[in-house]
Amino acid sequence: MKDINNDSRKPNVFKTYQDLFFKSLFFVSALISSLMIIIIIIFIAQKGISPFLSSYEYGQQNIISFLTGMVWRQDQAIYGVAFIIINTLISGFASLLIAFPISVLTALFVVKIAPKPIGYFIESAIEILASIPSVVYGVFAVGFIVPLIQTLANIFKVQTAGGSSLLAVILLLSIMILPTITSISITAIKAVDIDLEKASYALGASKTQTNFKIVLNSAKSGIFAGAILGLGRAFGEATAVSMVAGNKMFGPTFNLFDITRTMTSTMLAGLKETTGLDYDIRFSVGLVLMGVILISNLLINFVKNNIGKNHA
Amino acid sequence: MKFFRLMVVGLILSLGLVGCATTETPVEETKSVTGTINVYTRDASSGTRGAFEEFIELKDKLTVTAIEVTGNGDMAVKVGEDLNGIGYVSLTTDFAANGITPLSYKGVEATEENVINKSYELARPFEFVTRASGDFVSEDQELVTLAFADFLMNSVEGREVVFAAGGIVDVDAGTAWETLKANHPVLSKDLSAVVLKTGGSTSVEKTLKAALEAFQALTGVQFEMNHTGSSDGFKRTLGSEKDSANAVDIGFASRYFKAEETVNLGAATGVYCMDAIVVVVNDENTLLTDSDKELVFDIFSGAVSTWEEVAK
Repeated sequence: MKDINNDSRKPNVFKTYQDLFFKSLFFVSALISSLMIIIIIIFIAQKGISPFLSSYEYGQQNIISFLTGMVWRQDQAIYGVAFIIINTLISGFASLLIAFPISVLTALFVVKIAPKPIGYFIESAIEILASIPSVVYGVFAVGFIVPLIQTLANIFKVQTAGGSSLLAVILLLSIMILPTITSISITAIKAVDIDLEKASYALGASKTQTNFKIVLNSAKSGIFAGAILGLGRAFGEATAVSMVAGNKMFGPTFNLFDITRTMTSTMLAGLKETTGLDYDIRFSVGLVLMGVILISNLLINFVKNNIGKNHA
Repeated sequence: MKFFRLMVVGLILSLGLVGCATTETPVEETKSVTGTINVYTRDASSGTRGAFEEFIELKDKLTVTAIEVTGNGDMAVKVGEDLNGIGYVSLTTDFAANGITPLSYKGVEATEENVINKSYELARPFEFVTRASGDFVSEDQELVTLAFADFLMNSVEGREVVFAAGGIVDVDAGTAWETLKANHPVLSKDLSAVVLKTGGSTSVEKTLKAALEAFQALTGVQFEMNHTGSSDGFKRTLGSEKDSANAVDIGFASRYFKAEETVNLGAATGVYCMDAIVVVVNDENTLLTDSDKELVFDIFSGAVSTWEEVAK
């Protein structure tokens, strides 16, 4: 007891400096990573807003017609982003609608139902799926999904642009966001307190009842975090999507077999070869996209807070 | 275990579906092309699109239903997959491998030979002109410029890199650089301080850059490219800007020089390669084999929108 008191009265100078050093190191790291997002936002906003200011060098653009326009064609300098927002939301949420239930059930199966080796095998397969670069998904979609949709269209006697379509985008995005949502859901389900389950069994609940009402409900937060990340990937995917979307010049597109255009594919197309207004306006689209993602995340959070409330 | 059994059944079922998809693709009974024409185009910043729209005077008049693809290869793949498709690619594209058929233009087949002998009209020359003799910053500068012009026009090595970069030129008709070099004693000097300045057409940049890099590797000469448009090619070597800050040693145009552009005053001038574009349709489309300006314009502007109308 006495020794310890002595120590605290005469602090070790080296240790104090060591603490101080690491404290500032952590602080600087945190500062850099949080500054990055601020720098990115400022840069994109500066570039993105500039076409709508009266001082813009290539002629001021009308922000109302930009936000409500239903045609996007660079050759006539008509830039309307409204239909692209709708198209992006449709393809993003539709793919989430497909991928979310599959992902959550897969995660439940892997953690709670499957025998250990099978669960381990599936989990590794999903991790590999998550690490495949998007351009590989794009090549796969062009070579496999697109012809598949062409075949489907022939059966239903509808005409497509060789298979490039909204449906192709939705299927492609579903496959791409599946591993993201699944792996985060697996982590969330693994973290559920075993005592909760035991209590449920003790009250006479069956395994299925426990899995759906107790496990999923407790893992809700993590699962929805997965959904947000998945949706973010769906909205943000540019390379693979622009390979199968067909990039329609007007819209919005509701027909599954019609071609479509998303915000990221719009930003990407011809970026390396263009200059002037056509270049700057892509930053405006990026700014709108960030807004869309923010609102979508808030929406998902709202859903999360209102789901399964009566069980909590 | 029940879930596992379900999974296995599901897997088998989906494999069955995949089997169906791949076996059913070739059983398309439709041979004649019917229905809407799917017009494919490059994004608005593409040089190929610029040249194509210039040839058939389509500027700003492209149909709004056109499908935008991401590149020359993408165009070939997409039209090859779409029976109803029509698009345009550069002449150097591998038609057979992509399942596309090139259309002749005004009865002339799209071959390198026909482009070089000028009978195929969907083509344009890449022309150059140098400053007038004695009007260079130094005598060495003039001699080096003429040496490069000789390399670009006549050497096998120069023609090879131009051809690889997409320019159409008869490589075999060139002379080995080893032989040509003897006419340019200036090249035995240390030329690392000489900077060749080029300007004019932006379309020539890809082929010219390839040639300049090859020339630099052989001689050590530096180069500076500042390309703004065909009309500046003459202006900055022999015209109104020849003594301004924008002055260049060699000017380029992706068209024939006009009569008022008195290029015969330059120390050297000529066509170093041709650029050609081919309208393509799907391999199975036997409806269309020849084209002309009017037909191509009508299809790409949307005035003719179904294959039935084309058949008439």
